[in-house]
Amino acid sequence: MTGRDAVREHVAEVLGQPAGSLDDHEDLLDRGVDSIRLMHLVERLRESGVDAEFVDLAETPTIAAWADLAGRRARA
Amino acid sequence: MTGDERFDVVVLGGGPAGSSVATLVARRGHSVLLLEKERFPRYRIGESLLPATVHGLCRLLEVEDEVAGAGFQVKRGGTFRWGAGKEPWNFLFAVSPRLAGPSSHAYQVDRMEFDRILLRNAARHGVDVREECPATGVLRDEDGRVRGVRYADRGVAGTVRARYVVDASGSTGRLWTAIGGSRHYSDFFRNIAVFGYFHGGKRLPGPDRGNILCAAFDEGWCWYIPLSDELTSVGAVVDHSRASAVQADRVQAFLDLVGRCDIVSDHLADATRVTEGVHGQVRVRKDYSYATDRFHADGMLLVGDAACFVDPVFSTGVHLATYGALLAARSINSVLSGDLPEAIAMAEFEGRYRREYSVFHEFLTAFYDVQQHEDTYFWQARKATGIGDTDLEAFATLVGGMASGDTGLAAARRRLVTAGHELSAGIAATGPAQTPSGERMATLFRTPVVREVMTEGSRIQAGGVPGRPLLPGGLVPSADELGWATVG
Ligand SMILES: Cc1cc2nc3c(=O)[nH]c(=O)nc-3n(C[C@H](O)[C@H](O)[C@H](O)COP(=O)(O)OP(=O)(O)OC[C@H]3O[C@@H](n4cnc5c(N)ncnc54)[C@H](O)[C@@H]3O)c2cc1C
Repeated sequence: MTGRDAVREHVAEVLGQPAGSLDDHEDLLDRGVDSIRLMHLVERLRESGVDAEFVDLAETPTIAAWADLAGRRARA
Repeated sequence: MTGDERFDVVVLGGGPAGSSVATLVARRGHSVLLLEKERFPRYRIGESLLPATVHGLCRLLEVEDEVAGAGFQVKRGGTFRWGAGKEPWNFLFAVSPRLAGPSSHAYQVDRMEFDRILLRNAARHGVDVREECPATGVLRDEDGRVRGVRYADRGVAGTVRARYVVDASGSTGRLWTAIGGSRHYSDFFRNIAVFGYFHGGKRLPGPDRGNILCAAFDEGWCWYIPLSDELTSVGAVVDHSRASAVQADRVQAFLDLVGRCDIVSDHLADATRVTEGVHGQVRVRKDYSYATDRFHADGMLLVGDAACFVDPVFSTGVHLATYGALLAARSINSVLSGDLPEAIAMAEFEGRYRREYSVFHEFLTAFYDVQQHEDTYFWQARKATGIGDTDLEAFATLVGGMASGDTGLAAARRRLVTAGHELSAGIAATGPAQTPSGERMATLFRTPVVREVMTEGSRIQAGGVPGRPLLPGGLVPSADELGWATVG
């Protein structure tokens, strides 16, 4: 469960905005992702089996980049 | 009559650790008495704070807004003239300039005011706060378990009974000895600090004006903390062997040392030392890095400086003190509510607290190791390669799970040396303050020893996130974050 759709769901919930309104390539910092929300996202991704790191998400704040990362960091 | 008084918990000391543990236990509806020796406001060093304290912990204390509204100097990080390069570099709390949010700033605080806010907040949460009431000893039952304390109230002796006694009486309290352990004083961090205040000191440029500045010089290092537009806290840290010279004439020693740290003396070029009032004294502190070998025993817990403290260069003191307070409150609350057996709750308190202390210890050792000044005694004695065996043993014990004997010590040393190298590389790659790369902290945050040191602080700030146990087979914070829960 780590494709773009899954990541988009997590982001939508943390932001309290509909998933359909989020573009895969837009900068999520412009959509209101701040440090605390990012920490929540890290914990959610970890719960779903991805070794996500705060700094990685912070450096490239788009759904596309996070989905790539989630694919690479998924625990077997 | 006072002998009949009973509380669920008695807390000794009303500094940040004492006020925090008292408030967090009272928030669960338990009765708490807090005894404080002095009358507030009272002076204290320890003015530069971290985001985990002013947001994470203060949120749990329900005092975050009051602290935010108190007018304290906002701090976006620390500026260091430290390490291989000549240019100052920044350790910023925000990973990148655009990533805003509470975790990206902290405050520089006048501790008279900050500590008073936290103590008043404890009273507001139902804690019975009694100032000018020093605790004088503990009471035990026939089995030796601590059951209360003796104290003095304006010269009149009193006793009070409680299920738990929490010693948060700071570094000068003597009550911690009742725990039955001993204290290990670090040789590596055996420094003496001499400090005072100036009016009219310069400020770092632009967004760094609120930062703490720490600058190494031949004989040690200086701190420079902007407390307000006018007032600056300045201190010099040197080897403890200079204690008698420093104490013989503190003011002269202070001015001489600060004058030898060029970046700090440049900032003070047009400043005058405060000579009156509470900021008018030049004060001295020494031998302040230590850990007690147990943090709890039979009805008593140690938190804050009463338990441990390690070197001030990274402004970790109040965080470590209040983190210990949070853990103590969770463990006490979990036992008082009947949710957990005492042994399990206290093991979580002690295990997490020691882990955090060892993480800070490792980080701070690496931090000293980074400084290149190898031709002077102070810096030579603070290379990770040269740490003495007793310090290494203490470290290996803290970290736990390291082999004993020579191989264990060698492994502990290797670990500290490696941490120093990694940190140096992270700093070098980040580059000087206010450059494009120097504004981005990702490389530094990825350095293993930095990541470790930030883990728990970030989790406390994130709050309410479903956690995983920090310790193998350990507990997780309960939903209200005021107790512990088991997993699965
Ligand atoms: C040189 C130096 C610089 C530092 N700089 C920083 C910094 O920049 N940032 C930072 O976070 N930390 C810093 N620290 C550390 C910081 O000062 C402490 O870690 C912090 O104050 C600990 O809080 P506490 O609540 O444990 O103790 P304290 O703040 O010391 O409070 C203890 C309280 O207990 C009371 N008390 C004592 N005895 C008794 C008794 N018998 N009965 C009842 N009450 C009693 C005292 O009056 C006091 O109010 C620095 C420390 C040093 C030495």
